Amino acid sequence: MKIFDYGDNQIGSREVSTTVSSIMIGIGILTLPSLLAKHIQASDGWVSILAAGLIAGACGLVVCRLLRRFQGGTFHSFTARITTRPIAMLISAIYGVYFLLYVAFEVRSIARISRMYLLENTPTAFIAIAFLLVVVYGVSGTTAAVIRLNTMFLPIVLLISVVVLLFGIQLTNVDNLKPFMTTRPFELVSGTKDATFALLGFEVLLFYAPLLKPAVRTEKAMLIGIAIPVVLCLLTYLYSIAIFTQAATAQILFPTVEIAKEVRLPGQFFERLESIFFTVWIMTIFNTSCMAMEASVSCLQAIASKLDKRWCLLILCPVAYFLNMLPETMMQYKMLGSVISTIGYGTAAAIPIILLAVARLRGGGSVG
Amino acid sequence: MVSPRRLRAPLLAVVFALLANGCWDRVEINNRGFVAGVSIDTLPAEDGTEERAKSAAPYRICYQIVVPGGQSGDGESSKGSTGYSNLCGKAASLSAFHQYATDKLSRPPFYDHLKVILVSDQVARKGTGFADMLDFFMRGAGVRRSIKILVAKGNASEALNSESPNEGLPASDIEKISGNRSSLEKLPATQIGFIHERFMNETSYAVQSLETSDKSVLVSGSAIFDGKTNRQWGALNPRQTTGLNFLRGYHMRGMITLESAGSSISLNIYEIKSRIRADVRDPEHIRFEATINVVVGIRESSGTIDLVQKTVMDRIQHDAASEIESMIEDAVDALQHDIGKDALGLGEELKQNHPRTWEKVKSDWDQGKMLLSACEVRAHATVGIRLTGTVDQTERG
Repeated sequence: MKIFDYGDNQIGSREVSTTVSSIMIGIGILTLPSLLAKHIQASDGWVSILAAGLIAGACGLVVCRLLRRFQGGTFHSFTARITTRPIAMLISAIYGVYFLLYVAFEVRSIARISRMYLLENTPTAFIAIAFLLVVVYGVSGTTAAVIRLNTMFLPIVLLISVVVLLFGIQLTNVDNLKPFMTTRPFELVSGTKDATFALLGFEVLLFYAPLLKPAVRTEKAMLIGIAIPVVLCLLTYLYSIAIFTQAATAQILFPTVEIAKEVRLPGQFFERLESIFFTVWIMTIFNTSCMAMEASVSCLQAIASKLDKRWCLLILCPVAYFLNMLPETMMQYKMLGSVISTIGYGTAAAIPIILLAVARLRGGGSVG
Repeated sequence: MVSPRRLRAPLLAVVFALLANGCWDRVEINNRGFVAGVSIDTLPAEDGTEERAKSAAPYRICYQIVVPGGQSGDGESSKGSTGYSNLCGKAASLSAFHQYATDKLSRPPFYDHLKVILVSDQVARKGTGFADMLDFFMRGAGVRRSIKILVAKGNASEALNSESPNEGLPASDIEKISGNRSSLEKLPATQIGFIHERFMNETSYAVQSLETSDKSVLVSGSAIFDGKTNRQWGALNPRQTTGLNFLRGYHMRGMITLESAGSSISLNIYEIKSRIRADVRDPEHIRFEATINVVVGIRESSGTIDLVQKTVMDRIQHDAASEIESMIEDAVDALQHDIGKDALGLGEELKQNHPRTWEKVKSDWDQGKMLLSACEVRAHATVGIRLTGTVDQTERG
């Protein structure tokens, strides 16, 4: 297979924003409204989503600060420089496993949803492997190619989401949002925990450091990238509550898909908007999986530096497939999700913060 | 000469193309039995020997299956020309009937284009039949949350055999009647998603009801369900349903006829706006104040009244307002005292605007202590006449 070489192999601030948005918009948004509605009264979940968004934004800024200290190196060489080599290996391994689990979860989710709504008789295992193989194909090219795909897909995803939400206005009943602020603060905090899962993934930018153009203002780009999914989450959540009421939203597995199913465009041809919605959503999950896979490959390369990218993929692909097929029941699938979100707190928040603190203390790699 | 190496990629593409065709889920469109309507009845009560069989298969279910016009011509059955065929049978559940239908038909039933579900009031009034029957459809991924549910007075399957002058399918006939908003004597269409929401919120609700006589359907009135048990508790007649439409401010249009200024006047209702306020100082005796604004036009008048005169117009507006208030009173009275279930949306009003009070009263609202019956509902209607038709007077006085 011949790999196309881009003349311009670097990414600017727009690509940073789309990359961050693309990886964050995934399975999370589809299930978030129902997760929140399970224990948060009426429409109070917006507080949780907003709080989660602010936390994500703060962590995003930490990631940006770290990026500035890389001096053109990779994440792995940077950690090795400010800590020691074994610790750097360990950190890379954590990220590698985390992103591999992330891929497995996304693949399993898309297989589940496809099976539920589109392909009733096709085995989940087959849908999963077909999807995973396409992801592997996507990743085996250059990193810049995956990022360019993001810039291409994200506007389509946002456009379809806007169409769904715009034509969904007629279905909403604003009274369902009332009463305001009746949830206990503790519940709101635990809702924030649910919401953060939908907003994980921005730390992937750490692995794209060598591609960044030197003059890019990453902070602003990162914040824009985080704001888009937060707004999308907020809107879908409020729509679900306004359309289905809180009690029913809690019982619907994928409220976002149900909204798309209900929305009717004028004219018979577009009556079934969900088919377009599904296509687009599979596109965005493809992007998410590609980037997570890419990051995982980069971690494996850091540990075993002699392996080239193709070999890494060949090793990781069966592992990802195995992980993806591990959960048998619904409960185990949910457990995989919560394991990932728990590790996610470490990879998105704890590790970057610790690294930044260490870098500050040592003064190593500082650019002033 | 092309080298074998260069042939490898196209060959692989061909293999994949062939594999992709062998999809598990490939169903040709002409192998699907499109179910357009479903009716659910209880088995007619027969002699004692049937009683035992009843517990095993208590429902009589009918599917209305679309028969594509082009293929029906050469069939031996003359029924094919009507465009549909009804499959009826006894079953314990809808899944059991689905099995049965799969055994009976060359094309297995397919529910993505289902339009209406008709549930007989005999099913709805007993046990948990109503909720049980709808479960099958709520779980199905292809089934939309906007499918319309109607409660049939008496036999529901008769409606699927009704004759319609306009539509080929009785099911789509019923769906279109149920969906139009040009009559106040029926409610806005009741969708399965709405019912699921009521199930989850445990609030009582009203469902459109339907009656079949002489092979013709009539959608009017409404059936009242208890939110806790999901069982039908009563029914509202068309006049009470009109009152309910006014009170809840549903976006319905239609006509009301009343006596005013010495003649019979018909008003065309263009717009209803309703606002309910609650006074919750005494939770045992909550007072609701409903303000209803109605915009109407005069559609028909008997006798010789001069619609240009202000006094006449004021008189009609005043009389119309009191007629609307009396309709609302009828509905409220029936729901508060005769049926005792809150399909008026009063509980929701409390829940949304007075959540603390609602927490206190919700367990005794339309059950237990029946605080619903103790509360007071006052309706105040104002009517504005916008149009009097294209002429002032149609006959000289």
